[in-house]
Amino acid sequence: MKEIIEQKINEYINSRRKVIPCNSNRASMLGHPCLRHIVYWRTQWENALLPEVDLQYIFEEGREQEQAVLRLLQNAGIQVIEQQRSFEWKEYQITGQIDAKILLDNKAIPLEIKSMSPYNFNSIESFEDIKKSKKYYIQGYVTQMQVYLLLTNSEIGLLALKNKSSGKIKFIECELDYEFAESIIKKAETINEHIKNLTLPDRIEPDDEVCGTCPFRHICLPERKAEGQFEISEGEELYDKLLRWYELKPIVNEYNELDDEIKKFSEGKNIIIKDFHITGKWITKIIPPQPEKEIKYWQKKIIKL
Amino acid sequence: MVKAHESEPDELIRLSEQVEKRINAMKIVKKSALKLTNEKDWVNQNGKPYLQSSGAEKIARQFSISWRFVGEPRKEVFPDGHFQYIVTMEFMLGNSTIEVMGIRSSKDPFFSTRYKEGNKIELPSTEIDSGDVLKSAISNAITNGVTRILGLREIEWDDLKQAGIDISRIQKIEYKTQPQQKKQEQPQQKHEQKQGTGQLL
Repeated sequence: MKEIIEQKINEYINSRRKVIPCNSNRASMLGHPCLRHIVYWRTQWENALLPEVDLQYIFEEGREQEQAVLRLLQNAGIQVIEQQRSFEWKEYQITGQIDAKILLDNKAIPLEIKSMSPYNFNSIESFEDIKKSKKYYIQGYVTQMQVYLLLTNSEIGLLALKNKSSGKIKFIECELDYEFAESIIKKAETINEHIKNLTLPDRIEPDDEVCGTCPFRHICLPERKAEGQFEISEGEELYDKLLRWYELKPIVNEYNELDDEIKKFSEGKNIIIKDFHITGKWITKIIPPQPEKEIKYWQKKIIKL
Repeated sequence: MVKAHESEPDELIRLSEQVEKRINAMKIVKKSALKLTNEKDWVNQNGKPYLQSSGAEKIARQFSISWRFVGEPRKEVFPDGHFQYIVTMEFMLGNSTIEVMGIRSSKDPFFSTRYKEGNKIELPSTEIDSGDVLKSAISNAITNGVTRILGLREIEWDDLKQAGIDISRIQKIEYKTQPQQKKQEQPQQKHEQKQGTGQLL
């Protein structure tokens, strides 16, 4: 019985997959890290691969969440106007469709709604966090918002982020950044030049994340360049260390869990229990603000075969 | 003479040691590669486990496998309007390089057959998205390339169980065969359909 229901839903989601004609530089695509990808959208959109069914589920969920956020805003007494209004900047062939504007102190503020995983939701607290995101599609929100601010002649906009798991919403203020906006316009000009001259930008450095899901990967045919090389080691010393590491791992985990529990229970207390005496003291430290720096480290992963 | 006589067994020992090392290495690689995959990376196709390109790409990342396309994909159109894509790719692992082809045809039941309310519907070639067929030919080449360069052929269900994969959760793909009489009436179709399913590798 459940198979029939699941099959029907899958068939429905499958039928929702579509590729929309693309005749302009859409705000939502201008932040993509691959220029060639955008030019393909403009010139060969009809050859784009349909989104995978799993991705279509995400799109559908995104649309539902967007409507839910707009309803919530209205229920909370916030005036929502100009839902799904389209804008165009002919000179640069840039178009955009904002989710809505909200009226605050007689000002109409552009609003873009994004639903996301709890992990992504918790990692973003400011517009800077979005700019620095390791995920290219999250970084793309910066460009999208800047384009909306340009198209709507606004100095400030709001990004509403919704945690798909908890339902919580947070708002991120985005100010128009003229320097950044200039770079978007230059990008649009470069794309338009390629389209005019029937040329394609160079491929980007092969990137599994960007190229692996690109709807034009069957046309672009990107290479995959692997870093490093794996080796089969016969080092007995390393093997002995790994065996001992594997043996100790569950004990360390248990130790850490117990240590945390004891700490929580005994914080601020002085307790004697049978032949143990638990005591402690509060320690105050002033940590000066650290300058931002990039650090590089190797994250190891060990799998027992 | 004596020297030559003595060196022969030494050479044999060296070779047999090398073979043993190679066999052991391949066992380790197989075990490690399978551990990187999960139930979603496999399909049960007519009772046999087949790795999907999602799994092949995970394995490629961990084993530092590179690839590139050799020339452009080739499209061959059949008289009935159906078509197939042939993709040639090169796979590199350390100093080893292999060339592999990936082929998918629009006649493959995956693309051409649908079932509606229990009735089988054969889609005409014009209804089949050529991009999907090309993408599948590339996926086919990637899976072939990764599995061949690592020597991961002939994977059995037991291998997957040993790698901790719950084989009951692997998606089943079964192509319903036509009655024997009909098959005999259409030998060409039978051959092409078999070729198509084999290409799902």
